[in-house]
Amino acid sequence: MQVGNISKWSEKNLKYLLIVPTVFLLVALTIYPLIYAVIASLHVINIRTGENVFVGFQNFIEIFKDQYFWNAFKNTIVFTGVGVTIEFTLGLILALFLSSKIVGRNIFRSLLLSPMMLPPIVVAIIFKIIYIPEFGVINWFLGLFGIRGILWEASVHTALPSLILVDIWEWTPFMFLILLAGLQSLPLDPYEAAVVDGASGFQIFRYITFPLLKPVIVIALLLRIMDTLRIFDQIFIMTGGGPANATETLSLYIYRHGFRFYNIGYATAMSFLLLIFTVIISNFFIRFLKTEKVFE
Amino acid sequence: MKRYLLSTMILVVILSMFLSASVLASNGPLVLATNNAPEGKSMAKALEEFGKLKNIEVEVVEAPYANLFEKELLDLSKGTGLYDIILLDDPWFTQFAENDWLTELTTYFLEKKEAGLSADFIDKSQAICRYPYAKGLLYAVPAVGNAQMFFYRKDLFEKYNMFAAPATWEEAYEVMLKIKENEDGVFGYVLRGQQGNPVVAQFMPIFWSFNAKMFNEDKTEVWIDTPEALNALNFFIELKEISPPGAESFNAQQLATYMLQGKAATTINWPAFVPTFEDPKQSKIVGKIAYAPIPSAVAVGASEIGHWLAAIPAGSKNKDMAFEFIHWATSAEKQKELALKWGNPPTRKSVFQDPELLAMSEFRHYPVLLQAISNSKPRPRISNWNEVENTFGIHLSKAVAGQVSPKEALVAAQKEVEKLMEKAGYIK
Repeated sequence: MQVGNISKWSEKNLKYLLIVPTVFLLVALTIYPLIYAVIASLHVINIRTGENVFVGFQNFIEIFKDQYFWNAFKNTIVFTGVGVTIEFTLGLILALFLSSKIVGRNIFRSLLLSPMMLPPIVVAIIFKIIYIPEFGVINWFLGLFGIRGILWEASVHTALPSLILVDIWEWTPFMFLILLAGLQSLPLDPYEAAVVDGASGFQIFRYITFPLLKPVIVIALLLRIMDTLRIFDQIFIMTGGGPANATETLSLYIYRHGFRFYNIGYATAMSFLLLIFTVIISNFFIRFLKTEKVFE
Repeated sequence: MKRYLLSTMILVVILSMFLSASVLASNGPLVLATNNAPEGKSMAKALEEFGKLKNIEVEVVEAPYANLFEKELLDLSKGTGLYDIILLDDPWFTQFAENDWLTELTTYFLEKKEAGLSADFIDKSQAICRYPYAKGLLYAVPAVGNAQMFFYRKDLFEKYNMFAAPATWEEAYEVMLKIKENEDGVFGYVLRGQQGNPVVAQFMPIFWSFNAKMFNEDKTEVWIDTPEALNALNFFIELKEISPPGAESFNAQQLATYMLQGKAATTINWPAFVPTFEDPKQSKIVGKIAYAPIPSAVAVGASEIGHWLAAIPAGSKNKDMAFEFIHWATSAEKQKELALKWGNPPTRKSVFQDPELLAMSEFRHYPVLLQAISNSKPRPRISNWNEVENTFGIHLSKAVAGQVSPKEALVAAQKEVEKLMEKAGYIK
């Protein structure tokens, strides 16, 4: 009697029991922090002073008046926009190039992936040395062509582009990898048909490769954009947000408030805005992915 | 059956909670939180030795500089008592002490029949262990001594007829300018201009030697936008002019690189770099470099003090043993040993003047360092220093980058720091 009950009970409920660990982890590590973040963003919380007061939307109002926040926001947008666009273009060109049968493409492929394998901190430290105006290797090389005195990350005007360049160097391979995988999974039939119909190389790319590759492109862009919006390591090491705040990004600014000044409420509110912004952009891409039909 | 299962599970959960709570409640090992740089690691080694000596269990928590601050602040603010001994950088001291997060130490000294910190500790080193500064109660013991020094190329200075260490900025600058103009590929100075803590740490000694102060005595007025500060910032920009291009983003490491390569004649930096400068494998300037206190301008040159202090969190459950360790590790014999083994700068006058150490070339800067510490000034003792430093750093960086004039930078910094001081309750 009892044994029968157990097996019946477990048959009915085992599935719930089995997902308990996962649900627990999800609740503890994702859902609880999210709810806490919403609550914290409506408070002024400072661990140093022990202050914890409900202030409604005061944090958000202050953020909108905060010139440093807007400066960081602008830098983040420029960094993401310029960086991801160039990474995508270069990655696509490389992928197209290396998916055709050229000599030594396996070696090129492996070499191209190496920047991505390095930890961002290492990349930042290496580039900081490469960029030293006086005896860095880039300026030495440019000097051979008569170009002198570029200050790279030390000048207000070139600091952000210099950091974007580091990001491009490190993450173009990622774009390349995903796009290459996409290219290689494309069906061959449309290409054969196009060749029979006498389509030019550009036409093949424009009307066959590009539409077929669109889902992969969207995923690649989405991943890179979400990642770049929270860029931190390289900037923290290379410029600390300077000179004159020219390279301060949102993550850096949030870190400062959260972990240096202990304005937890304010930092959480900013993180929340960054999250909302990221969600909006992602949704835009995901919708694009859903509505676009691959085959007409 | 379902009921049994459920109640068993609940029982297990409750039991495990009790178990973990009882584990937390026992005194456990003696735990030290320290930074994972040489000076921190040497304390970790000392603790291990102490553990063997006393036959007790010890544990070391090492973290990088910024991380260590976060760990300590979380532990102290919540009173978890995770650490029994913490090593802290002196600018953190005010915020820790004013919230009663540290253990007052005089009673422990009295138990040992000592009145307090030994007079052997340098006065300035003692002062930063008290809250309020110099006059208040004792909450820490100075463990590792540090203060900025003026590093200069003795050979080049002698070439331009200066045979003693420059006493004033005026005479130093004259030689630095000559070196920049006449020596091929050697810059007069190398400036640490990276935004944030680096540029502020570099500016403070110059700020002070021009007799500028950030605040009045009781911190109710901000004195950043003053004629003295403007003179200091103008001179700072002049130093930048004779520094290598790109100084706007230099940190301490780039300063060392320029000096090691013989590409800069002078700089202000921390003594931690002395062993590197004296190492023939890395340095092109062995025997050519000399150390001096910060030159004076209208006021006596003062370097920024940067000590590591040892303290006991208020929540510690091993206070007696923790004090025993701190007392032992900061004794004269131990400090000498740590200096010999790890190059840790001491905080006791007797160790600075130890004949055995002074006879060795790697300690030849000790008389200068002792003088530098004795003339040093602490960063303003305010609890929101991180925020003030960050804001001041932004405007200094703007001035150094030529984005705004020195006057504009000071006016803007004055306004924003006033706001921060109001928020923190200093200005009512």
